Amino acid sequence: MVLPLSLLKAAQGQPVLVELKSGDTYNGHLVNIDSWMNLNLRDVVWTSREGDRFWKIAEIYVRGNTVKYLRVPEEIVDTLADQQGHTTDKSTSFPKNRRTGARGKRRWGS
Amino acid sequence: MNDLSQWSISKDSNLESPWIEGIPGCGIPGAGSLVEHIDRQILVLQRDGRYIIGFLRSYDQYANLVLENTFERFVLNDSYCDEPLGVFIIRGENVALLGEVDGEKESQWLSRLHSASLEETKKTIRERRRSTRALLHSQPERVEWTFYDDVFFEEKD
Repeated sequence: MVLPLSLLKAAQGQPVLVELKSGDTYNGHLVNIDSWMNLNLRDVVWTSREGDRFWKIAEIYVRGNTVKYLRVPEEIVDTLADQQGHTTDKSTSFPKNRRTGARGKRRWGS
Repeated sequence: MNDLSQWSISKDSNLESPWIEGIPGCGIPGAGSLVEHIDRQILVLQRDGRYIIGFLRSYDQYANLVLENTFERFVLNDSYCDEPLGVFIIRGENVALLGEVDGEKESQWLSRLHSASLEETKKTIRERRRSTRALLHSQPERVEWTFYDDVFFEEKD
């Protein structure tokens, strides 16, 4: 498995959700990310902490140290595994039906 | 990507992995023994008090975590609710606590609660927050501090 920051690097161009420590969330397409987790997002929807107010922003920069967590599309993990020719037998370490939930149904950032 | 990929975390230690020699399974320095939890279901208590459960796929020296098949678990008095979150990357700073989920004990514990709908749970949580905030705002929001410039001049005398 790749490092968290490499995964984010691979998520460039994909829709992501960023929640800041303040509780505000930003949905947008990841343009760029560096090793400090500083982010550039495009076509952003900013949601207030309470989740009741929304703003549209064309482009924003988020300083890495204000980030609480990020959500990325699940497909990224698969594409990365393919690129790396990752061949570890995952079926032994976790259940086969692990891919439940919102896979392929949810999109963030638009 | 390729030069980073040699830093891949794998349970099967091999020569390409950045193990410190002589310390089996030590993984990345600074992140403790998280290598033991790779590909296991773990529960993370975030610093904001929220509970995240997911399969730990990767981590780094800051304890940034990559979780797969993640969900947030809300527990109210006698009910619980899970919200699926997919692939989740938590910035290490925000991790307060982390541990492996014991499936058996978990299901025992959950059997004593009833599962509530997400809407219902979130509504309750929102109401609670609102009342807490009302409580906070009923008290003075800020202590007034006054700084006297002349204090410094007085000290000089």
